[in-house]
Amino acid sequence: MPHRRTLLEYRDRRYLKAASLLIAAAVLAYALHRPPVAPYGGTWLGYALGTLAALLALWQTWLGVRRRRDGSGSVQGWVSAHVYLGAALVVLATLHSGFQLGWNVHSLAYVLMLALLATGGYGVFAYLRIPRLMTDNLGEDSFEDLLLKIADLDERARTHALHLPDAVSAVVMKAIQQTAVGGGIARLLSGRHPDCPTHEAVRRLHDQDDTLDAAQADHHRELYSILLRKESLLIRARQDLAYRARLGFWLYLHAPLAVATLAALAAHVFAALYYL
Amino acid sequence: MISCRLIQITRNRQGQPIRTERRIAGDALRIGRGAECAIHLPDHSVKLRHAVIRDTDAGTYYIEGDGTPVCVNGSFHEAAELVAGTRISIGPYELVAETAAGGAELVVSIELVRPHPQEENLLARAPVSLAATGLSKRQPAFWLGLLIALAFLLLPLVQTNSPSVRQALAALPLTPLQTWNPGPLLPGHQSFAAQCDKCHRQAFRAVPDAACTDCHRATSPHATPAAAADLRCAGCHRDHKGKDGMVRSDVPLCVSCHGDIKRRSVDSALADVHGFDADHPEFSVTFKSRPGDAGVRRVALSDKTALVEESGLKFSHKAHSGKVRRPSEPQKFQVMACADCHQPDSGGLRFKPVTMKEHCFDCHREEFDFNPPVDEHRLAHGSERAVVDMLEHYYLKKALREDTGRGGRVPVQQALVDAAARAGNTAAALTGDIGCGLCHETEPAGSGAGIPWKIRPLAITERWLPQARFAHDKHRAAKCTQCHELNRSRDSADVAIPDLQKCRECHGGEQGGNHKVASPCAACHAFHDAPRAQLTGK
Repeated sequence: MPHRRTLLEYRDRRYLKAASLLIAAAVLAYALHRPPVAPYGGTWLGYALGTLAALLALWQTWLGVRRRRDGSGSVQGWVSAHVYLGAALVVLATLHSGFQLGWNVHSLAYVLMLALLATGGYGVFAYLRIPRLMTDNLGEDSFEDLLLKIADLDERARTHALHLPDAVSAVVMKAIQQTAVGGGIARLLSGRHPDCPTHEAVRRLHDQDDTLDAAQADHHRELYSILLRKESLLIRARQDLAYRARLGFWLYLHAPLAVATLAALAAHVFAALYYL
Repeated sequence: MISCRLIQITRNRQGQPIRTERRIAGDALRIGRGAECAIHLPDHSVKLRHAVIRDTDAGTYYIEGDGTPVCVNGSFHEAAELVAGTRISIGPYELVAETAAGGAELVVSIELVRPHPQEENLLARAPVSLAATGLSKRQPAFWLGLLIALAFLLLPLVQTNSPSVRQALAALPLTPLQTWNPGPLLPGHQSFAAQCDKCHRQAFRAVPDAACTDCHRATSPHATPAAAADLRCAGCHRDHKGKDGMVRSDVPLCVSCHGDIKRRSVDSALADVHGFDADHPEFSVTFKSRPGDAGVRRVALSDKTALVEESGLKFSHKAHSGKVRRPSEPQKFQVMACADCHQPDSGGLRFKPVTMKEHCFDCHREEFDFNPPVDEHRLAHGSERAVVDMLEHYYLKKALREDTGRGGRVPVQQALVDAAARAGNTAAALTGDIGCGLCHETEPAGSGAGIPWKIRPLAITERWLPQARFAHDKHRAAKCTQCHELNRSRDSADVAIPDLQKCRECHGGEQGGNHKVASPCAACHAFHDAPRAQLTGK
């Protein structure tokens, strides 16, 4: 099987090299730097690292926005740069701080940036891992195929249930009419529906009903098998939605955190320059 | 036996009814969703066995619910008679008993009047994407960004520029402006920590020196204003770094100027230095000046010929160390140590001055006694005049008690003249190596004086290296003689200040290394000591 190139390997890891170079240069400068009192943002190296980090942060934001607007092939290059230079940004900002943290807007910007990195890190992980899981889950079907199959099974279940006792019919009708693939945020992310009517119907039909006549028993058997198939299709469809949600969920944290980080960064720079 | 014409009504596109008929018969006509029912209504809202139509002996028909009531003409009944026009609702169906065309026959029409709406799509029942749940990126981004900008940018800005807002917020445990504070202030500055503008006087401008010197008025400058024109207090003193952050004591700070001192101050007499272990020049001792001396006498320790102390005293350290004979009791020996005379002062840096009264007199009291004694008179110590006065006093008393040999006493007038003459003679002889001259260097007195010599004014150097801060108590682990080689010194002209080489035996450069004590410039030198004042040796 040919090796699929991921965004991390884009163009022979061009951005990995660039980011590594940047990190190595910054770490070397920090190690050789002899600050007057203690390393912090106000030494010449502190200002240099801070300026570089701020510019990098703005560029990162621009890359993030551009990635959203453009859906074409070169996206991979931008994401690759975004990921590697984002990691480099954290190193630069850490060295800029001189490892000095406190209860202030300066550390707030730093902590928000770390949270931003954490969500972005999860995003990379999701991009690398989830598409493969989605393929494994769906097999040769598409999500729409699953829905069509479910609709078909529902139709057949409806016919068989007509012949069965009212209680059974009610459970099956509920399974047909009220089973949902999607749900709230928790259901979308987990893919689990603890009160799924179809699960309930499967449980209910699991045991053979001795009161049924031969024809009804046939219907019962057939219905049970239909419901089992529907249940397995449902699990796959919901899992597919869960994967999609997990692919996108981090961005609901990442984007607001990016704006929050930029706002805190602006306050940090302003405060540092206002009280020079 | 019931015979029934069952009319199934469907409607064409124009809504006109299409009636299809079939005949059913039986003892009772069962209605339900079950396949065995004569009137089969295949819908899930219909019970498997919903109701049954029976006839009576009188030839009428009635409908009876199968366990549950049936909706007849809009109300529920356990059973109801079927007459022409009776309407029965079962699920989506409506059954109407119609007038029998041929008499006793039952005619029932069935129409699906409330067809179930098309079942909604599986996807439409619940959100299938996070976006569809109402989750938004923009809203939290907007509010979070706005909140941070308000709380950490706008509010602090308003607080710092508006005294009334500042006052209103003062009681809060953490005011918005405090979030701008990058770190704790020096303890001494914390009393005005809330007033940023106490030091940061202008926005976007560095803290001016005046902000420091307004309080620190007595701090002397390090260099001449011309040489330090481009230096700021805050260049070295960085606050907001806790209790250690304020004072710079790194070698690069010093070397940035002293590495090439001529570049900063063309007429500087100082040598270039790059570190104590590198090219620090040999120490120069500064001798104490006498009144009338022209300038300060500084001599490098390496310049042995010029390295002569002119204290005005005669003193042999060798004669005063180890096992020595007491002058007053030559048969007795005493072991003398440095600390017998050199006692540390309360600061621990140097020693209390050695005084005749405290440190010499106990052994050397004999030098002051008269022979023969008269009324415990003793030579005075203080000034030449006091010595002569005491001698006159002594000789006068002595003369007045002496017998003239002619059975009478010397007349007072005569005694006074004799005493003055004898005192003058004795005083004149107290120079050289006896009397005052034992310890003091003397020099010829002017013609008008009572005695031909006078004591040379003392100039005992107490701060040999005024530009260095040497703490003796920090070096108490070492023996005195480890640094001060005085055991063989017979002359008070000897200088026993340890030289650079001696210090380097233990002290390294800024980082120490090689098992040596880390010794940055500031270990010995104080930055704000005004050099000119100290170099006068006063």
